[in-house]
Amino acid sequence: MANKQQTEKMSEAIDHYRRTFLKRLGITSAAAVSATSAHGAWGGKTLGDTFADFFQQHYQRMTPEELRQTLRRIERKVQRQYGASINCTETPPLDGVVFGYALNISKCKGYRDCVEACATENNLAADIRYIHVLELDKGSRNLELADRYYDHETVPVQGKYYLPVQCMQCDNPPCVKACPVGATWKEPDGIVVVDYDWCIGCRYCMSACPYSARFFNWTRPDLPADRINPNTNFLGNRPRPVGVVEKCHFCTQRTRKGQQPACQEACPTGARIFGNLLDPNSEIRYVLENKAVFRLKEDLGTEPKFWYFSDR
Amino acid sequence: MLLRWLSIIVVIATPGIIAAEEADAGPTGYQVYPEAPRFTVQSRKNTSKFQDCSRCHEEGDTDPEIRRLRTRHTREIDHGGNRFWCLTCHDGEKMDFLRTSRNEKVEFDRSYLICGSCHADRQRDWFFGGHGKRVSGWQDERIILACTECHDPHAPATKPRKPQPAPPVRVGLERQEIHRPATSHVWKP
Amino acid sequence: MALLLFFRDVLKELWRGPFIYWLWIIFLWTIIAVGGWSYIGQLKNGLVVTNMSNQVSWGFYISNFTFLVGVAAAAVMLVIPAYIFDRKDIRDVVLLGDTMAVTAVLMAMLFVIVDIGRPDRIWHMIPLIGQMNFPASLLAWDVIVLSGYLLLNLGISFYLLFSHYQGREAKLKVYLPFIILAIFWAISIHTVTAFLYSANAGRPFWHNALLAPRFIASAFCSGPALAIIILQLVRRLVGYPVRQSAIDTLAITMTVALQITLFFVLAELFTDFYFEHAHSASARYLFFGLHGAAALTPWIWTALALLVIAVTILMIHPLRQKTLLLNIACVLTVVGVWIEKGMGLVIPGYIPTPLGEIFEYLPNATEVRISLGIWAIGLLTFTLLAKAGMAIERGKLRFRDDIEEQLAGIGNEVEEDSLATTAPLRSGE
Repeated sequence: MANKQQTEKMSEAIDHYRRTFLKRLGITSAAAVSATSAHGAWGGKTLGDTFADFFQQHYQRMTPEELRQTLRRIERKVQRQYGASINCTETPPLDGVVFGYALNISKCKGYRDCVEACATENNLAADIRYIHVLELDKGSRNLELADRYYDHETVPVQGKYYLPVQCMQCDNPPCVKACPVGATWKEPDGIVVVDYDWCIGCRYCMSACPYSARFFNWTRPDLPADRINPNTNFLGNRPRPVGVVEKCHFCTQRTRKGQQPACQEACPTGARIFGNLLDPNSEIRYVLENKAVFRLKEDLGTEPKFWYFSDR
Repeated sequence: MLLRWLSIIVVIATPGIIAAEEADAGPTGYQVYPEAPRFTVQSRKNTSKFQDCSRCHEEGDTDPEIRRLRTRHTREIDHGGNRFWCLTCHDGEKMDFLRTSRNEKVEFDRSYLICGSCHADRQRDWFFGGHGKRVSGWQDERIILACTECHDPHAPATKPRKPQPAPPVRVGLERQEIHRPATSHVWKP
Repeated sequence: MALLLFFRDVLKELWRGPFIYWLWIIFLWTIIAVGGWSYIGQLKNGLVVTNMSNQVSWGFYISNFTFLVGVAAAAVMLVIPAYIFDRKDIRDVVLLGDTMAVTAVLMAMLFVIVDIGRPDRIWHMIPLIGQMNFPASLLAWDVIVLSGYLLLNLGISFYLLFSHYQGREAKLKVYLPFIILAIFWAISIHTVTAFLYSANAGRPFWHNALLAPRFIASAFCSGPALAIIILQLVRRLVGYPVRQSAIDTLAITMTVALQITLFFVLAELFTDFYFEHAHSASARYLFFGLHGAAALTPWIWTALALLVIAVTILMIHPLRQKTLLLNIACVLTVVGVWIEKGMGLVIPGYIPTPLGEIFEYLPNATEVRISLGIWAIGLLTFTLLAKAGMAIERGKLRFRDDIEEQLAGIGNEVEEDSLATTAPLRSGE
């Protein structure tokens, strides 16, 4: 009898505490919700977009309707954050296509036109450049003696050669294996892509990459509105958020529509050769079959799809 | 023998072909690389820089003596190490054409046939896409640049130029001066 | 019901203490506040407030994380002799070891959270709701084993404490399987953390088979070293009974582990420098500097000097018995291993970059403040858990004693419409 009384008193006490707690929580939440809708807090975001952003699904698990809404939301976000109006599309991979790239190092003069064209085309932040152009001594491939920061009056410099390095779109990518949340994966056309809205920014993929090809947004990219390229796609060149990793994606917004990547187009010496490895008549296949090609760090087994060759 | 010479004359007399198609049937009717993928060369004749020579030169009025020209023409030829002069490639009789070493007339838009007579390996690469610049999409109809878009035949070597600026470091950080040895480990005595 | 009273008693215990206790708590909270304020700045502006770069993409946070996972793993050091070798003297202090493990894992997890670019997206790692790249990603493995280890240790500690709180002996056959599991799990957390590094084929400084053994060996130095310091503090400040034999066993373990650690360092030095090649570049950077860049050389040589001094003290039997020298050796070991496994391991993996670039890194003030804040959280957690745990173990907190009065007190409160307790729980106090 005494025990039962004690238990009942305890239950009443617990109920009392629970009701009061929930009441206070409710008031606080309501206040928070109304405050945010009224002020447009969090840098001008609407509440609906904020929640949708937070709960956004992984690209590969989105329904077509979810993707459509996501693309519109991205366009709204860029409008709010940068004051620029962009068009964000989905560019699925083409059938029967695996992309490959070859670079003629006897033609590369180290102009870095490709680096800048890529930056403009892909809305790169001021401190990110997907392509590194390494200046090396002729006769040596010792990367430890490479210089990425050369700043000569004219190039090419006597006795040096130039090796542009960008994401190799490996067939056996160590970054894909490393990502704990599956935010980066290899698409059927061979391009390794990143879902910028799924990436948690742990940067493990950056440790795994043997080519220094991945870059992190240490802060929100500062993109001037008048320089933003409005033709964007979800897995490619749309302006990226803070705290996520990005890299060269062979200009999916262009190449999946049959165009050349921006770097190939910009190269004045025609050193860059891009195409479909599955097409036996493609230029890239001719190069692989007829020129003395090599790949960087081939011994690591990453199977890069970016070859180098020379005429001499 | 006579038949052969007759057929050559017939072919030459045929009006100049427009910018060549694939499986180029050269000036004498032979095919350069029939197995090469189709391509179209982006025309140079249609650019504003280009002038028809026949505006000034009547047919057959050129002086065939090897000399340095004085007005309105390229003076120095930095190609072939002093073995060439203007009429090596330009046809003296019909100045709107170039000439092969067999004196066949070649349209300016097919100038690659001239280049290829010495630079055969490079021309093979160019036909197949291992050299040169493709200006169309990778999937579209193949349009490539003529040799002379990048290589001025009078001084073909690419001239050095200023590169774009050095890459940035992360915002908020400074470039670090690393004093690397000036030369590599390429063998020196 | 007993559970609720358990928590209430624990909270009461934590709320009372001498002046020095409160001074310590306020001191820790000050550091936490400073770190928290820095972290808010980091959330607002992004990781640009740190000194990390695309070249050196992991820095001070992950260095601390690596060290702390080792400490967490080594807490098992106390458990093995206690149960496998049936050493009763050590069983007394197992709970403190478990508390150390829980605290270290918590700190390690906090260091990961402050390091990632999008902490708002952590749920992406949860299987089913998010997407976990298991078993391919070593980071996914690390999250699983660390979470599991935390729960395991919390569970075991809680079971032991709750049983003792209720005046009962904990049933060995209930918790011994979990203890055995915890022993293997402890080795696994640090092995997985080592594999996180050695999996990277593109980073020759990390990509060797010796890394995992090095991690375990250095963990078994730093863990017992910290434990020895903590046990002595607890014995002196709180009067908690810690037998000298327990401390001696830990000291001997530490000695052997330190000898093995230094042997492994020697093996690394030989392999890298006997026939130097491109893959030795990171080691050269760390120990001797590379092309003029030598920011870490003072760090590593200091660390090695400290470890050598420590092992000398520990190896000489009469010196190890002297308390002051033992404590000095412990402090030197902790600092030495922290440098050698933290900054001395993580940073050189990035210098030079895979493309040969040398871009140096040292932590900046923001990173140090946030890191100190997390260490303070850890110390605070340890203080609170240990205080409650020790109170229970010494019999100060017992379930049966207060039940009648407490219920009377609760009954009074229901009438008032307020969360705060105005009436004293025990009349006359």
